[in-house]
Amino acid sequence: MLNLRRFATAVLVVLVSVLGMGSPTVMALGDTSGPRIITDDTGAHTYDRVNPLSGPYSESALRRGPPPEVLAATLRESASVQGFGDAAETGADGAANVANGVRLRAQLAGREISGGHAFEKHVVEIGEFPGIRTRAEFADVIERVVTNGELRPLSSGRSAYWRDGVVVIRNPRAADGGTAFVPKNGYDYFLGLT
Amino acid sequence: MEGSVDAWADGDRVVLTVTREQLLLLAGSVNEAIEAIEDWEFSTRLGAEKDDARLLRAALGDLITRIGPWE
Repeated sequence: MLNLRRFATAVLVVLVSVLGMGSPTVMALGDTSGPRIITDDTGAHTYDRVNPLSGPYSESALRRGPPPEVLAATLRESASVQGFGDAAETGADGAANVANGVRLRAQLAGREISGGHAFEKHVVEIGEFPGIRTRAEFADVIERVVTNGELRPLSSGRSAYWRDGVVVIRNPRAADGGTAFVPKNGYDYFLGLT
Repeated sequence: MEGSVDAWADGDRVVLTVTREQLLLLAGSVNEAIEAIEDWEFSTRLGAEKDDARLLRAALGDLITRIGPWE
């Protein structure tokens, strides 16, 4: 019975994380010694502390909440301790799939944008990315911004990401898939995007 | 120059009330965007096609001509 209750708690954490619902709550992930997710009125999630197994996080990443792969690992660990086998694995695998989806989307963005005009204009001609010499290096920069950056949905199906002075704009309607550059007005430019 | 813009919306239509000075700035901004941003990057950065921006520039230009004179 106790195990069943703990498993239900783990499932509830997944549901709340996915649906972003509920008033401000603090929930433990299985064993209370693990990191705790705090969900506010807006549905945003934060950790009460950094998961010591997952390395350092930027402040913006902490504001956005736990990366899906961390959530998956925590769930998997919690569920395996309780001995729920396949059902627990299914929940953890779902979160892992989300993590893989995020990673693949970032990789695709990096590949598409770095293969287009943005490299020639913003890397080669204007030199906005000192130290970046190849399209592959440019793709890595874009991938990191999309994976870890702040996201703003824009008009016409576009999305903008901001991290460390770099803006990436994804545009599914553009042949290049978007662009990436270092705006002169920095974060104000990012906030001014519509 | 005033820092505010009055507006009301009715469905897809938005009616703006701007000063003549603000209107010139809007028209100039559209014109500069068309000039400064290359075709491949325009729709990504502006969320609209360059041809649509040209139409807006022409419409604003006509409006400015109609409601002149300017000092």
